[in-house]
Amino acid sequence: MKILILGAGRVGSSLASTLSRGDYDVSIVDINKDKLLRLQEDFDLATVIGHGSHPKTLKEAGADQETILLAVTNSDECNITSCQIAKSKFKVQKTICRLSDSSYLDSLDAFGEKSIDIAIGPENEVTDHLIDLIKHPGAEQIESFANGSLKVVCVKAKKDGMLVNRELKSIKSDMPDTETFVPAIYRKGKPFIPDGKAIIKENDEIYFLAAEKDIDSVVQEMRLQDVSSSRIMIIGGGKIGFALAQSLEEDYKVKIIDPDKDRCEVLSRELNRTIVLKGGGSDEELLKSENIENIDIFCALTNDDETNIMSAFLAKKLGAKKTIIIVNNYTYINILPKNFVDIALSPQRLTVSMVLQHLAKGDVPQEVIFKLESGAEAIEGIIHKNKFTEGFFNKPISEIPLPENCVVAAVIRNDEVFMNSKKLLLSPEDRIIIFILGKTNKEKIENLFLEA
Amino acid sequence: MNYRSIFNLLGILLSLFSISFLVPLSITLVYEEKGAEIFLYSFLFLFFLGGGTWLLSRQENITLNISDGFIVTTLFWVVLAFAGSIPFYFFGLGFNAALFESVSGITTTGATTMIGLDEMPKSILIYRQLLQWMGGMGLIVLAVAVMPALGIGGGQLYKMELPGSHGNQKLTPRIADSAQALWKIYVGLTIACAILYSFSGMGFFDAIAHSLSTVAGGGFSTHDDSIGFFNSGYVESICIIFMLLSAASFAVHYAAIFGGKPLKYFYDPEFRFFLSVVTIIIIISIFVLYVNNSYAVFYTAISAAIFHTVSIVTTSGFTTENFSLWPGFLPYLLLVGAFMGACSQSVGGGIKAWRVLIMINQAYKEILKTIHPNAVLTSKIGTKVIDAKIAEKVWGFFSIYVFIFMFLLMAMLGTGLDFESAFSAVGACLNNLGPGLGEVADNYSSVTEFGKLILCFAMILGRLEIFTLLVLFTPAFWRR
Repeated sequence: MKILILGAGRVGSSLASTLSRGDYDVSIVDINKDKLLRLQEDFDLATVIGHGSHPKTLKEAGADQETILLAVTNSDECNITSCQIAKSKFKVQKTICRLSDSSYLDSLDAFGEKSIDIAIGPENEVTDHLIDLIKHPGAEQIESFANGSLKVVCVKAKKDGMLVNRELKSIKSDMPDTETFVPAIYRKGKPFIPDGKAIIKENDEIYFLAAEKDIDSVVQEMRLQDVSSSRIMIIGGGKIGFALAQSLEEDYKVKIIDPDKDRCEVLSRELNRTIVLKGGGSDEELLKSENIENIDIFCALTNDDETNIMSAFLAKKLGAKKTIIIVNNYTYINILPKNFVDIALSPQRLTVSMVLQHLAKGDVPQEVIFKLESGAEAIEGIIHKNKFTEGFFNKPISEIPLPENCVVAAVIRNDEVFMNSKKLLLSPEDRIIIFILGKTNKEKIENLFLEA
Repeated sequence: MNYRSIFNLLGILLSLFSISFLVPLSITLVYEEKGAEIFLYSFLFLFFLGGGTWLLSRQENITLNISDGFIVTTLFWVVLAFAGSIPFYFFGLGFNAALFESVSGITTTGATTMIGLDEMPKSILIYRQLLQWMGGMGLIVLAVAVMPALGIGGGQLYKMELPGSHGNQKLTPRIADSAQALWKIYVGLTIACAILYSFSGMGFFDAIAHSLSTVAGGGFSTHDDSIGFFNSGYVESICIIFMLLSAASFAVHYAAIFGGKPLKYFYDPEFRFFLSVVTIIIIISIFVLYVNNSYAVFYTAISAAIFHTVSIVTTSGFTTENFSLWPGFLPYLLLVGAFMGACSQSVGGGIKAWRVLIMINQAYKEILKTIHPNAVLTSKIGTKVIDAKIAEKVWGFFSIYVFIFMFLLMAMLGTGLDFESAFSAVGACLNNLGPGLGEVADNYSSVTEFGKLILCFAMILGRLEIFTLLVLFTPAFWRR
């Protein structure tokens, strides 16, 4: 499969590195020669110097062959134009377009019929994740499936959790009304698929599936829920910071800090209940005078990794209870001290995984979660009757011959969610969520979603 | 430095190379000649040596960084040179002569120390041709083609082995696909050449044998008189066409054949430049030959001029007669043409037309600058801008080329060779050309033993385009 990537920025480069290691023939376009030179040295791909939306460049990069176009430059306008040209002038099969501005995302049809097949908004996605994490303060990671009706949550068991040192199946007797399923537990970084008799230990990382309303009660089982947070401080009034403040200001007390005077004015005009402060995120005096010690959640969301990390350190030292930051450089995420940074999100990583979802073959509107260190994944898709899935249907889920290290976590049929249970039968055209821990044969799983 | 990966690769390459011994082995059986055991034992020895090395150093991923790439490439060519010399040695050549023959084969130089080729067994003859054919496109490129797992490390090697490859010139996004395409074109050219040769009535064996060395830009022949043996205008024309084709950049072939742009041959600035240089030298040669009345029939002068110019400038080294006896400066003119050599990314040797073109461009820019002191100038080839860094690298290459040439020339003079012979021997070996002037016009048997080793070094230097090999001699390389 040929892939044409426009833009060799952070997102483009990490897509290029991931895809070129896979089965794809990657060509990448950028105006910056040096960026391309580095990619050229490190990975097996072709590079083209030029402006991504110019037809000449597109042709040179191979848009006249069967390709998938990934327009992931920093400029929304460039991405849109190149998708339009690729679709109307060339025979590009599929266009995936990165759009930062949500107003573009809302009016996709304005760019011509089918010129943008899939639009992804990393900023929107990050904001949604942040909102989820703030609303459910116990969770370490939350990902949405089945159009948001089902969430996969990661939570770390603490010794004050009700379920700790008890068998997993007793969760049913604790909460008879709650539908949940635990597909995986990471103990000291090693994953396993638990059965009902597994005992939950302190510091286990537990993945569970639940509906939005049930998340809190399940988290409660694993750890004493933090006293519901109400005070939030946001550093950085960019797109993400602004969108977050906007959606939280009704329910929380939000303060937002930005160093730019003009930006602050815009923020204060657009936001109604949020307190807008002009200043730096690492300004100790400012943080102190704004009662940092009472802040429940401190979010550092500027474009600069180092600023985010340092201001999170400072906030923690000054007494903020929880810190959530954005880190683009993936190397940093693994070396961040856990006691200073509670959660680090990588928009770049999120964008990459969103693009990858849409590249998977077959009928897989995939969701791919990456567990930070271990790499667990969850895939959602419609299972079809084909030569690979013979013998899958009308059998209890536990007897299905799945590849190793995989488990069917939930089945969605006619908008109804069924959690994995012994009696559950699979039928064709079911939407299923498969949880993968560790290494497995990815292709075998993708085959399940192929149409006959 | 990742020694495990280096040895692993060497093992693979050696086994790959040993398989080629099966061809002369089967020839001995077909023609019922002696010498089967030489090839059989050489094959078994190398195959198990390579296989054993591979097995012992096996690992999940081959990881090569740039410095490993230099070592693998150089080491492989050296190992290959020795491995290739085994049959020659047992065939009765001295150690140095065997090595010389082997190096001359794999580097597609075509210089030989063997006399009386017409009487020799067919197995050893086809073996020489095969060595050239494998060395032409390079076994590392073949390995990259058949083992995509080499991945990006393979890409480093590929760049080092493909003559005159510069910067970002992969044919396809995938290195393995590019290498496959190169070999497909190479094999295709060889088959076409063999078929056309066989129509000439030169015999099936000779047709195959000569197609191997023609497409490789090699110059080995199965006869002492080289192409002149056949005394056929048809054979010479086929030879000329395929020497020119194999001297063209394989990127151009790729665009023409796989990219559906057959006119690329006429539009590619490098190939055009190369053809113009060849044409100019031909015209000068014809003129000088005509003025000196060297040939009784004018037509023979034309055909001799065309054939030898093409043969020498493409660094193939086929001859139909002794061109070193041509009048005046002509032999030297052809030799200087060989210094330019073939196009980049072709199988030919020399400095490469592409580099010469850049240097001319650069020089012209300097001239323009003195006329228009305020002019802002960019070097271009065709419409493509040449980065100042690349131009710098080309000049660096050129100066090292000259320096190495001087050094080797002194060394050869030191072995007692006269100036003309030494000058042409070094030039012919460094440019992977083959025949020289003076004493080394026909063969190199009169060169001293030590001189042969120097020339072996020169041939490998030329084939790996100096830098790859020279890097290993710098302390900075080992210190990192």
